[in-house]
Amino acid sequence: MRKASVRSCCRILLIFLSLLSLMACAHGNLDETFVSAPYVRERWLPYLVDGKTERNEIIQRLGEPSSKFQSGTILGYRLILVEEGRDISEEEYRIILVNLETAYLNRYFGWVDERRKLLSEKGTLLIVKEQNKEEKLLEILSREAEYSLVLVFDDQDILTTNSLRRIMP
Amino acid sequence: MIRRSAAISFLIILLLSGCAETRLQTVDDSILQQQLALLEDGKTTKQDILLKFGIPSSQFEGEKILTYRLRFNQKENRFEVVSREVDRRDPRFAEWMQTEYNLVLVFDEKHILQKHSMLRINP
Repeated sequence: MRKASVRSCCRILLIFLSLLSLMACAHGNLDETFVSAPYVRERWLPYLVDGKTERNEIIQRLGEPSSKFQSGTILGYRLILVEEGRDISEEEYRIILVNLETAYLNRYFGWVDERRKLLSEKGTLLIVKEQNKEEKLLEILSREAEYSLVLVFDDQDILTTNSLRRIMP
Repeated sequence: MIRRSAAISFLIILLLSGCAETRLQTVDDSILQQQLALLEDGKTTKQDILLKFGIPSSQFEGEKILTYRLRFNQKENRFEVVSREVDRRDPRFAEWMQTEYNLVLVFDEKHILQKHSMLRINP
């Protein structure tokens, strides 16, 4: 009788310890490696070299900018990190939202980290402009990260200085 | 007996008031000044500002007036530009719904900052 009660106590203790270790595993930190500005610059924008890269080359590679300042001597690109080559459907957007809710509310970021890793391999930086804002709304809302790229050119149309800032967590 | 229950009640109220404390994410004036030290009327250029803050949230009168919607990131101790398109159901923006600031910058025809103001717009 006593043996049985000791055994059941051990079982309860074991279950308790397993649950405790599971809870400990479930609390993690987001991996920022693949969405950090330095990584994104190296992965997608390695051709931006101050004093060297020409304006034409940048426009050929990135397309028309999101905004222009000072008669075009400063160009601004709004860039979002998204899955490449397809439009996101309402259903896919809902699934992304549910996955994000699960991840952020439970503080378990496995799905987010995996998405970031996949985007670093197969993702793309999409340029958001006034003209495509409506059409790409679901892509914009489901973006994993957003950046602001500002490029300053000299009178020879050579890049003089630039900055890439991440503007979304 | 009465003294004892009064002491217990006092302790409970004390504990409850501790729980009820709310943290408003506003920024001290000194931090605000430190963060905006870059902005000097008559000196700072539009280029400096664009390189520091990125593309503005909106612009008026061509590019004479630029505005930025900002929030203060306490973890990194700096202002960040708030994304324009946000789904309120998205948990990544839960914190972003708190205090925001609107930085308004006015430039002259040589693209030099003429005047600026920082307004708290929420809550």
